[in-house]
Amino acid sequence: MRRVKAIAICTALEAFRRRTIYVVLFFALALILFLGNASFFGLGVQEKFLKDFGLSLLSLFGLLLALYLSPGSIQTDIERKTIYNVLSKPVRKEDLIFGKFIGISIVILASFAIMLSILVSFILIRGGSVGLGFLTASALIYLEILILVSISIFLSSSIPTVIGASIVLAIYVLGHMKGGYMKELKGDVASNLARIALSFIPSLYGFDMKSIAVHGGVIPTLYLLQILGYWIIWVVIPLWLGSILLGRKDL
Amino acid sequence: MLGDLIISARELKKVYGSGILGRRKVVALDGVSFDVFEGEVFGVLGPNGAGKTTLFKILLGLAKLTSGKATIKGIDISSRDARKSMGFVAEESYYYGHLKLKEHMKMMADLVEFGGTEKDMDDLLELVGLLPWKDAKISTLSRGMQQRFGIAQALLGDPDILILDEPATGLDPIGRREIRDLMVSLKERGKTILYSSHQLSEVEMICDRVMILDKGRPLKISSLDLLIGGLGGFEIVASGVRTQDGDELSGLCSSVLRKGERVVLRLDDESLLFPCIDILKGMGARIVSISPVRESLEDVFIRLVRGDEEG
Amino acid sequence: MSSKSHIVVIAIISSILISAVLEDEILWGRERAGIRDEVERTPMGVLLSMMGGLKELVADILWIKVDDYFHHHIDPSGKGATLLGEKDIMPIIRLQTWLDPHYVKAYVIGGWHLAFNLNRVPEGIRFLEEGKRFNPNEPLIWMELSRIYFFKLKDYAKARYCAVRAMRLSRDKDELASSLWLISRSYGKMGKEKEASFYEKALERVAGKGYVERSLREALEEAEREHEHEHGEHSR
Repeated sequence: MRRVKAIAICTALEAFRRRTIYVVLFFALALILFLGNASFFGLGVQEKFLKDFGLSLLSLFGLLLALYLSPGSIQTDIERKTIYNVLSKPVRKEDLIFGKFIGISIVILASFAIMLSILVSFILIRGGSVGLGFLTASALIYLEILILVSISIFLSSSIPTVIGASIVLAIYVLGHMKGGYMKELKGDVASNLARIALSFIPSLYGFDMKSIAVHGGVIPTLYLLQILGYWIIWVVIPLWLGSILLGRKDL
Repeated sequence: MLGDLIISARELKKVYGSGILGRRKVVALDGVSFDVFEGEVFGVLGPNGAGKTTLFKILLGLAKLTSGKATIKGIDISSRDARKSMGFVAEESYYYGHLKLKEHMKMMADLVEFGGTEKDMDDLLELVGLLPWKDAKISTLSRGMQQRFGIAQALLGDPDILILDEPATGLDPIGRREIRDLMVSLKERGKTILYSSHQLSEVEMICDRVMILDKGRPLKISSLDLLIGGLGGFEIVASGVRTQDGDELSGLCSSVLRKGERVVLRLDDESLLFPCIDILKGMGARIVSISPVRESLEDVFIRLVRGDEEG
Repeated sequence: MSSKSHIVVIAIISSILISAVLEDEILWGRERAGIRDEVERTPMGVLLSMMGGLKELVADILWIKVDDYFHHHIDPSGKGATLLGEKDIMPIIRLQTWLDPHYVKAYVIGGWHLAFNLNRVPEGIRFLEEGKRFNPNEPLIWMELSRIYFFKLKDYAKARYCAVRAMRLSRDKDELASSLWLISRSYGKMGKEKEASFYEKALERVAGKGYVERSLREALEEAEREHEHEHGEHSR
């Protein structure tokens, strides 16, 4: 655990000290401030708009952060031989992979916390309310981004950064589109083949509960438990496979 | 006198696959066997592509053996425990540039589960002359300072073995001198060092034994004294040798070189020294100096590698 | 195959199976919660997905258009809605509910517009039924259905039924009062005076006497105030 913690802290510090992350945050906050002050709507709809926009922004900027931080996380270390200094010590590959994941998660969590607190402040200042549903929807978006981080790190252990980032972006889009297609699948051979192919894309649409949250609804507890179980599988398995691939690789 | 056996390697073989589906095979190591004893500085030499770095990577678990066996203090290299006794400085490696020196040390200390205090880490930084820069970001340090930091982090956990893969690459003469002095002090502390370098003059100064690799095979494993201790003949400088006497001398000498009034004679066969002196006296020449000729490590290296290529 | 490889294969297969089961649960869980995922199948949906799932946001922006239309082009005198030569707003409302099926206001306004302004009553009812499917616990939709059955179709039994459902789901005094009024009037029209009187009394207890007249007057005054405010802003 000490090793995982050390790698996580190092990863987080490296990310926090890069200027790019602050540029991303600046744009996100600028958008929130601009649109938070704009009065396009009547009172009730303004609140809904802020919530809709805020959650979409969290998703979009979370994706940007994930694409920036994760795909090169292992590859860059290999190219710069930094990884030699780490893995030449009695460190398991799993320690490195999970440490990187936790470090990047911390950075994204901090960014989300900043964006969300500004957003919630705006909503409250405007006389709106922020319920548990909204906060839960925000948390689900965070979990969704972490799945992308996990897949990125898995890919980063063996393929170049740009290709990894492109694949993750494609997974983001396909993962959201998947829900609309799954319902159309019947029991025939083609549908079953499609079902098998789709099973390799995480169901990111399942983490999108914006339309309930912004209308003040509550996300069912059973659904939350199911999505959490799904999340655990889609985070742990790619990271574990990433550590296996890294172990098989000659550095 | 050699200490206990600390590294043992037998018939190490490493084959890389390259090209489509890894069909093309590249043999990086081909049956390398050697032993390293406690407290010695063991040089690993070879031309580019000889397999030095591959050998180090295998010992450190960064690459997998195709066949063969190696142990570190009796522990197989495939076990993570083997790395607990080792510290490594990679050739031209980079560190996490946005971290401060002390933060990076702390991180490396946690990776080896270092039981020491912050003061102990400061002592290591002081040993390599970097304590005044402990709050500086790694990216602001010069290449030489980063290499010294590499040695400091390699010393965390007080490993018995240090593996230094061309630590002086890219350094200016002052930087190289600093690294050399560090290595001498580490040797005096009883560390076992595996060291590879293209600076053969430095290897001559520091190493006890060397292994010369070429195309993945060991050409020679020997102590330096034995490798370069033998006499390579004599060199005689004489004056007053007439041109017409040169023919008589060239039958004995491997080379006769005229430098102004003086002649430099090279004798490969030591037994011909006194007959040559007699001939010079008979000519009425004056002998200016007689000096033994020893082969340098560079000479041995080139001879062995070229011989291997021709063979 | 080594034992570690066996573990890897078993773990991957197990994960895929568990993941597939959970996926089905998630899919139908969303269906039950009334979330529409079909949008993402369309080119626009793909584009919106790439931008952080902005479909609800686009629905908000469309509401500006709808809101503007009903504020500026409806006669505030209360004599009846008049459409001042504008294009039909229904396609925009339709798009809005397609993007965000939890936009209750859009369903209510759309159903009302279809039934009362455009005289397309069956379509209005169908639209509201769709809204009810995605928002089963929403009293406003039940209320609007009740109004259509009462005023347009004169089907007082159905009007009463819908108003009772709205009453059970109402969240505040106004919603409760509106539903009680409709129940009372429906019973009256069905000739059940005793029940009608019961609900009339309940209405008085909830909202006081003269509730309907008062509500109508208050609604008209608010509309006039908004009208003056907007016209005043435009002239500036």
